[in-house]
Amino acid sequence: MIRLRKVDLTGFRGSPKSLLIDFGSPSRSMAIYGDNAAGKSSITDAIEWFYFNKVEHLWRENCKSDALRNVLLPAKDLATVELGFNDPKLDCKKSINSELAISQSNRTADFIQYLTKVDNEHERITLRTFDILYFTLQRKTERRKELERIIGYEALDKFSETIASTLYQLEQTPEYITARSNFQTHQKDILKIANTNVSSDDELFKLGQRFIAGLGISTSICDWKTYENASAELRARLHNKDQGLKKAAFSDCKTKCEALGVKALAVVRVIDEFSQAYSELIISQEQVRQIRLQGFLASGKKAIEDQLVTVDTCPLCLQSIPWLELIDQLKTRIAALGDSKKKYESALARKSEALSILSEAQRASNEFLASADKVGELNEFIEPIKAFSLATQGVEAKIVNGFDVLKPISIQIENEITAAVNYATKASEALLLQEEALELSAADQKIFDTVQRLENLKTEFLRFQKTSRTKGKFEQQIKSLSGIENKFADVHREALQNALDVMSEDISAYYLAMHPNEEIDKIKLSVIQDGVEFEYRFHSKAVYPPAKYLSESHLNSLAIAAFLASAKIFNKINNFLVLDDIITSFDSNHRVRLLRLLSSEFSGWQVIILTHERFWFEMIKRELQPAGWVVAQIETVDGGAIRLKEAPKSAREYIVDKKQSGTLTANELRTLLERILKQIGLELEVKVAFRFNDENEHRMPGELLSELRAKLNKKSPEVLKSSAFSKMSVCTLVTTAGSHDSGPVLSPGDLDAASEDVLAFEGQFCCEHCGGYVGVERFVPHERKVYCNCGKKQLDWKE
Amino acid sequence: MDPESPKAISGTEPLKSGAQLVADFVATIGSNTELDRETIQAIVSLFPEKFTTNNLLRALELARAERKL
Repeated sequence: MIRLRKVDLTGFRGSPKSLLIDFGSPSRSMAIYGDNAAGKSSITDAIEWFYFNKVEHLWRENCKSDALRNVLLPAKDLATVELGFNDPKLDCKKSINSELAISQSNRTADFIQYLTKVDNEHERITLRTFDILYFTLQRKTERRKELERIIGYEALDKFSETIASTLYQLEQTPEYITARSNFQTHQKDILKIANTNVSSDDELFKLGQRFIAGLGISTSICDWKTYENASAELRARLHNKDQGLKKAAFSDCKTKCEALGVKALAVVRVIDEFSQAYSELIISQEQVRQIRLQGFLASGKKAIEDQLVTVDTCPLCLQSIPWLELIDQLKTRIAALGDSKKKYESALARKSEALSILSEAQRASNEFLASADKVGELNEFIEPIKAFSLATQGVEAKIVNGFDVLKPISIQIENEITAAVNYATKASEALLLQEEALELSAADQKIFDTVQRLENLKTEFLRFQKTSRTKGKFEQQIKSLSGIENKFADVHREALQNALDVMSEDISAYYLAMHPNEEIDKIKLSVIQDGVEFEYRFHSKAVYPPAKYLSESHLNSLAIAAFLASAKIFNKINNFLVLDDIITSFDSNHRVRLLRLLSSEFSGWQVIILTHERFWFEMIKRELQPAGWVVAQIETVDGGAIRLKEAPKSAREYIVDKKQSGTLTANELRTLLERILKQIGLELEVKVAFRFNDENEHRMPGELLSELRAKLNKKSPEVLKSSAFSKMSVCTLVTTAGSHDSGPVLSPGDLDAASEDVLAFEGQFCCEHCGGYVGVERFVPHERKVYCNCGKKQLDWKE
Repeated sequence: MDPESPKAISGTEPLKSGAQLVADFVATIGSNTELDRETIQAIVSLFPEKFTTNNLLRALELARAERKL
């Protein structure tokens, strides 16, 4: 199977120059430490992009290929990601230029086939902080989506989401809303002309034939051609044709006039409905603030999801805050804004309808104006109708612009509407008078009425048919999409359950390896309705819902177990995994067990761990370095470039490193001092008061130092007299006080002196040759001394 | 399936990937006579690379426009 031999990224994401990661030969597992924002995730991004042509967390935020090139990279240079493998014929350098064109150095059939297979099989390669964080935080419905992402089944959710969102938007299309509304209006108009409903061409033709019956014309209506012929034949029979044509023009203009009046009244209705929904939306500044805040909070949540800022940092104030806590707060606040969201959606729908009716009113105005132009004699009505049309355009613009910024919208169109309705009524009456004034003989009048009836029926029927077609087409698509959505829901549920059933044995085993003493067993993940739920037994009793007992750290473990299980099942080609900062909020009680799980169950895999947790990194060094893992850390060098260097072997080297780079903080020094004290305590079997789980990890240096003193007082009192020991009181004060936000401001001199004290103190117990501490396991009774591993460091020790 | 895979050794059927499952589903909807042909055609022609809400809405709009013509 395929393993990584090297990764080299240049000008890519956070690495302006070459960042080479050499896994050696044979390809070894590696742990890489890097501070927040040191560039670790650029490595994961590079690997993801190399295989899948995208970086999911960037693509979700719509930051696509343009976010791949380092911002400092000159336009003429290529951003490159080069992966070397244990099979060198697959080695390939992939590049992206400033025009975002992508190229790759390896075009062999073997390589293409390899990439295609990895993509098709959707191999599990990377697990990131956020995959876990979101799985842990989501409610059960949303958790299903996150779980799918972890096990590589996100395609199922993506398909469902696309269908659902298309369906929703299709139902909200203004054209469809208008068609539904006009459908009924046209039906009423047809009923008015024909005293019956007409829904098909055949019905229209039969009705037309009934209209002309008894008029003695040769044409028989059976299709559109004969319908037109019948009208023409009737017109030809008019004795006074000019009079008839004029009368028809008046009639047509009158119809347009009435249609305009109807649309003008419809404008009143939609403007009222929109104004009401919109004023409820912006009823108070508080509501507007909430709506805007909703967007802001959602953007903040998204910024965290997509890791646009460093881990455990607030994206706005850049203060340190655990993301778990921050995201939970954001979700609660966004949920609390649900009422405002409903009002927003309601106003949005009213806005669509208003815009659609305004546009129809403009069309009706234009049709009337064109018809009036043919008739002539209507000059007094032209200007008010033009003014109405212009006013509707102004209202359109006001609605669009005001809605965008949620500012009050002042709609002043009553006068124009009133004028339009009045003038339309007056024009209609005037046209009727003129039409009636054109007297026809009784025979001509009968023919004229029939022709008008045929024409009007045809016009209304065609409008009805057009609206009906539009409505029908939308409804056909909506019905089909709903059908697909429902059918896929079953496929989705069954497929996910099947995958989880296949993985459940491994998930359960991996989870229990991290939580061996918790009386939880038989873990099963079940797909329910739209969500996913865990079933398990707690103290041999079935538990539901399990969240009752599963803490965030337990859910973290479950997510990691699911990822590892899916990798074991899906990865048929690649034999490596990248775990990127997966223990950000991981329960410290289980992180060592995770290392042991990797060591036992994934010993045949190449595992790459990226972490900013110094203590976990130290654990990895101790636990896995002897098993052949490479340990390294990312450092920033002059010019902002990042590079990988061998990790410091000891706390001493780490402090010296940090001092040299000027990045040592009081908090780091305190953490280091704690670690040193814990290690010395472990080696010398210093006893401290019992505490549960996390509490045990969170002992402060003062307590540890006090117990160490007590032990040394009995076993090695001389060491207590050293100046290194006496200086520790001040040193613990400096490191502890300087770690708190509200603590005193430390001078560089304070920190410098404290770091020297820590080094001197460690030197009392730690060997400069082997890096190990003196320990009671290496007690030599006849010498009454304890030694380090290599025997070069010793300490007097009473029996 | 890779013979070294633990699932192959235990005899379990290989799982299909999520993408494959969706592709299989899309392949089956074409034969469903209850569904609108043009809607199916729009989905099939976009799937998988171009299958997004915006693209699908645009394809459906085109299908409606063609029907009108």
